[in-house]
Amino acid sequence: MRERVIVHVDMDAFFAAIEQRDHPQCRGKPVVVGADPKGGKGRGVVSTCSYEARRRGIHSAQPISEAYRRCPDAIFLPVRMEAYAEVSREVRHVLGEFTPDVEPVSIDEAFLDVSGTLHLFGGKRELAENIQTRIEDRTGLTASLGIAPNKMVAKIASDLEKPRGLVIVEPDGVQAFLRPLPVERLWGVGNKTKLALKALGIRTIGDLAEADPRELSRRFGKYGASLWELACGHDERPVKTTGQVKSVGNEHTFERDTGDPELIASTLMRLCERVAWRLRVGGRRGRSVTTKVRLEDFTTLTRATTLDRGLDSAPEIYRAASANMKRAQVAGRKVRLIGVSVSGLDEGGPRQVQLFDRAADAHEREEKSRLLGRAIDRIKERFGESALQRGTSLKRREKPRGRAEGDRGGEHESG
Amino acid sequence: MKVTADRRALHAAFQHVGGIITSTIARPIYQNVKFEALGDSVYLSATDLEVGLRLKVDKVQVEEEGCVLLPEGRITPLLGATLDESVSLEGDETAVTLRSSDGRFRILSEDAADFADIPALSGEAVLEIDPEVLRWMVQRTTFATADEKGRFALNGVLIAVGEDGTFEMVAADGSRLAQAKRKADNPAGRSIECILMKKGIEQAAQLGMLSEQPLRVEVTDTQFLAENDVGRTVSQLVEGQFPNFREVVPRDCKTRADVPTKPLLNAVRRAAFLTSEQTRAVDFTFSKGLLVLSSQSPDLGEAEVRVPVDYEGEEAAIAFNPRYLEQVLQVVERETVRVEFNDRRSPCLVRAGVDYLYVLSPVVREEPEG
Repeated sequence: MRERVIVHVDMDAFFAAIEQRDHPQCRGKPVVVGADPKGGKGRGVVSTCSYEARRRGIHSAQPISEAYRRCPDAIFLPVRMEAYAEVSREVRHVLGEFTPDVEPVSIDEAFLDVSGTLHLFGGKRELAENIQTRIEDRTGLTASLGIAPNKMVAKIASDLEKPRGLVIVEPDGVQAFLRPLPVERLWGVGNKTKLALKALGIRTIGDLAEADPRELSRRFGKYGASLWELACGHDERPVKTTGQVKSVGNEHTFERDTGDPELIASTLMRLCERVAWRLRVGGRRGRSVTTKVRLEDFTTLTRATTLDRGLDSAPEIYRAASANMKRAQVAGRKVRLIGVSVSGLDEGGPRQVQLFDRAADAHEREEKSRLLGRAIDRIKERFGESALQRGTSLKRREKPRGRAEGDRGGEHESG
Repeated sequence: MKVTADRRALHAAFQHVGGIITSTIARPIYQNVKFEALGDSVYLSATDLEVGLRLKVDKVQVEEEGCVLLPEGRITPLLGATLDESVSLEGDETAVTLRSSDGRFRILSEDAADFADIPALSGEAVLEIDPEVLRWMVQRTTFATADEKGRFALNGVLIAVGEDGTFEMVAADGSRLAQAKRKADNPAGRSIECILMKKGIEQAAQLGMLSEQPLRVEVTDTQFLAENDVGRTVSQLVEGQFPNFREVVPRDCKTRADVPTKPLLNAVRRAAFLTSEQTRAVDFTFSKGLLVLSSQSPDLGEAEVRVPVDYEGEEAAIAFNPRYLEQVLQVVERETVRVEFNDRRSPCLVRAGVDYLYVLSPVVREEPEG
């Protein structure tokens, strides 16, 4: 079998870098993109910050008031999502020059499968430098790259030497590369898993790879087995191109395992809002809603509902997601993680008009919630993601700290 | 309890009441059928606690009265596989023995005391409905209810009876609405408006068809009850408000055409072959004397079907999910339907005679966001 060559491209401090590019007076200074700090009284969080700001103790997902306290002289800017999306498209265009197999993961990162095209560009280093230079020429921004035989290792590699980093891991060097790294570098390992592993004497990925996989399965269920696979450097997930994106989903791992139905419901609502937002940004609607629940003992349940029409509004997705939740019958048990994903995507093709849009006493107000969703999106684009939330998702919210799983806070995106 | 029964009649009755039982119900006792031998008759009851049915069994001899619960999932297939003309059942609340000429089946039973009753009519404010009329109305409406759970009133069927006996049945989901209108005998002159689960009204219609007699109907604050000489059924009412359906029925439409029902149904079915799950839309373009149905799917290809119609107006077009049109054309018995609409974004009205109408909202293609 031909060697797989996967590239992970991660833009450096993407939103902040665009602001510094567009506003020369911001260059070399701490720049914080996110909610309005309102002189330290502002609510909401940091979306992205420049490397100068990071050196002052500011990071993504930090409360904006905290960022202001640490660095009141930083330049605070609102999120200009449309501008960033435009730059993201340019980057994607550049990446398309190197291979047709480009999977955008989010606005500022993407995987490339260059197994078939690598020979056209010389070696891996030449290819990587070529990509970095083309991105800089085209957008004036820098990117960090990781090259490895699979997605997981490529993603870890791109993060190691930021900014403008380049780390190449050869197939026979995967084990040696992973071995000394702490376990939380692995996808899906947060604070809690880290502590549970520590109790078994496992600190590094190398320790984990040497552990008995049967013992891990006993303790963590299926998840234990997949953790071990990852630790051994195995990850067969293919790079999925845009046309193959089959679902849009978000997950949340609770700070502490919880049985509180209100906290679970409001978290579910927040996830649905996030998924709906991403669907609308991509101009998509999906007909299937899947709810995933992982219990404290790592048992994972999934329930799915398929509807006769595509959804892209939070209340509709929530209705299906919470019906799924009921069917999973987890009442009385502690929940570790919940996730919502929407699949069966269309590309914003024909849309079924709803009958009772205008009827004042109707139960179904889907069109209204769609329009409301659009209005919320515009506000979010202007003022940042946390500017507006639904009542249900504000009701109970965990304090944002610790147990980071995935990339940002407790939330993880897929699709 | 001791009974001899005609095997086929008993099997048919178990099958009928078994249709009520849902395997997902939380309380296992309701996987059972209540078997009552009373006077010289046998009655079978089943319920899912939303809809209940009690049915009299034909061709039985009761030697000893009694009441037991029998597991429907075991006894129905057992009776179906038995070859004899008649069987006997004998036992008490602990076990029942079913005997055929060549077999003996001792089936463990449960105490029937906890099983919910299927209540009889109180006798007040009774309506009499012709079972054929009820069947006609149910067949033309219930297919339009919302399938997905949790849509409250839209999962049900609206039943409205006016003081003058005007009898309306309406069902809708987010995309279409069906309304049937007939007459009922309303001696008490009361008006009724309630929402029933689809399953409830379908059970009442089925019960009605088992007898020549009119179906006697009563609506209380929480329940819909129906009864005839064969049995009775109860259905919990759905709480909530039905959307204001009269408001969405289009009026004074610019485009009106009379279309032959069967050729239109055939054309819709064929045009639908070249639509996919993702692009579930067929275009309908009306011009003088002609309706053209067309569909295209990037993965499958294109279709075009022509239907001659009685239409004199300007060219007009609209698109629908073909399934929603097919479903209504299947139940209409008239030779032509009247199709009326204003523009491609507004609901379309399909009329079949004065007693039936169907409102169908179109499919639109996304236009650039303003």
